[in-house]
Amino acid sequence: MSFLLALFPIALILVLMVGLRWGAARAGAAGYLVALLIAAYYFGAGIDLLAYAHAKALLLSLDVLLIIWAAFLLYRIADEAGAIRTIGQALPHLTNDIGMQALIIGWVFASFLQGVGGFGVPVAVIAPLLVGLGFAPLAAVVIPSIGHGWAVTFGSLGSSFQALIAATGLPANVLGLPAAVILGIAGLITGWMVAHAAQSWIAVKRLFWPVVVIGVVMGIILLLVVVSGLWNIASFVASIGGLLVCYPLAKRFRGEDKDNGKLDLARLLIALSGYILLVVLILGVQLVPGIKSFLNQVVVQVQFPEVSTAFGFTTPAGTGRNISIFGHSGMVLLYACILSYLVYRRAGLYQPGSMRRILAGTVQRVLASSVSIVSMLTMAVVMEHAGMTDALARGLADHVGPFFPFISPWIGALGAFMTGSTTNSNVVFGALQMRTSELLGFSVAIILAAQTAGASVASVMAPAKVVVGASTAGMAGREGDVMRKLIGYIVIMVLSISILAMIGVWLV
Amino acid sequence: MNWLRARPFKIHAVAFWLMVLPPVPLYYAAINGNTLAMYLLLGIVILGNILVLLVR
Repeated sequence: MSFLLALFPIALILVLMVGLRWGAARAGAAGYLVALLIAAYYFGAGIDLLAYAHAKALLLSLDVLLIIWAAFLLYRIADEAGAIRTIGQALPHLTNDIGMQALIIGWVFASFLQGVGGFGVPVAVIAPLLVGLGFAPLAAVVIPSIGHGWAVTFGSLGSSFQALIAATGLPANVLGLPAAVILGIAGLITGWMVAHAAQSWIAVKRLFWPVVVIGVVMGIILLLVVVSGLWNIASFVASIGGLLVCYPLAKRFRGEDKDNGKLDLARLLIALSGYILLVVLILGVQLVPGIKSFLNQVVVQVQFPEVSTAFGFTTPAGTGRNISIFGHSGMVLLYACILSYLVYRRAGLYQPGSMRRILAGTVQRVLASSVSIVSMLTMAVVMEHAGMTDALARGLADHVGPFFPFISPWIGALGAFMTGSTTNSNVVFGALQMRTSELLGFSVAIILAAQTAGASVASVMAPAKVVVGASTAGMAGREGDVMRKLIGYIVIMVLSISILAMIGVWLV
Repeated sequence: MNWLRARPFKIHAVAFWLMVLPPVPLYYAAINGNTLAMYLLLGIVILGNILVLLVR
């Protein structure tokens, strides 16, 4: 009974989003309200426990939202300056080979866009670009959808990974390595899938080795960047490495000669300057100890007392999430936003009223997501404090037992599919996966890596993302076709992650 | 009800503030053991979530 009641808020969100097609904000609010009732009336959560849980959830929400807001602001600053369009238009100059174009634009450039933006941006930007290059609309949506999934966890400047850290309380250096290994391998498989989606098995055979080279380079860079603590920019830097490797490979696979017009290198460099500034700033903050300690002087730290439910489930005393006011990743992103805006403005790339459009566009785009993140995070923290997550974990441990590592990525995938976001999936299921793996004695880091990797690759199939992608490629109303095409690729990908997780826990 | 449904952005904005502002005084109310204030502030957060439910 405890298991079913604890499962109810999560199942409700799933039914409302998938069955009744509610938005994440609305479904999250319903899940929160139901979780609150069940916590109070069945799990014996008192008013003081609920009060502390809400305060803790606020800190966690701020921790995640600061990055999401600043990441999308940076994307809007670049987009308003025409920088995203300029970068996208430069890529077809490299090759006329259809398979190679799919790899460069639909895989590597899509991952770059996920690294810096996310929020459905890769498919929205790339699908029309591929249609313009002569790809069928269905392929134009499917290719970038598959192509950017592996980059989601460390994309959007690390917001999904930040959510995993916030939801589990584990540090980045524990969670990062296994997540980077699994996602690096998933990235390589993604390359073959993109080639297959573009030109079936012919392209997979012809471009087998280019995929290996690009995939291995991006995977190794991802791993190195994550291990060195710069996980905010891991997908971004990995895809930059991929783009650099693509240059000589594209010369080898040029395809038929066609006139692609003249490449304006100066314009391309100005377009990239916003992101170059971001890398310089993040490297400066992470690698220069003086800057880091200067920025981390003001930290919000709140002490929480021990709380117990009426049935004796206890949450020990401790500090909530610490937030460095000036050194938080979201603030570093904000500094990059200000500098990028000044650079683009000096280059004369903005029309009058651009600042208002940038800010209005950002607020409109992130508000509903922010509401859903606050309500789902609060739900997750209330469930954790009331012992509901523990009841769920015990139920899962009893029923799934030794096969839990195999199931784990499917839980993450389900969460991302139902909430439309890897961040939300990590928030809702992060603590549950951690507690279940602790009960079963599996490596927590590997299970959480499987959670976030499964969520990443499956998030691309979330109805909300598919609708956005389909509409930009003139496929509105044919979202079902896109879903049917995507499902095979996604199932293979999550299955691969399940196998990797099983191998991982067996090796550790 | 229709007036609310026609303004999703405004409702989300109001709901967002109703969700994020009360937890700060809620924390202090819990520290001081002020039960009435805790119920009132928690009620505001619940109201914020109910408002979101009204937006399609």
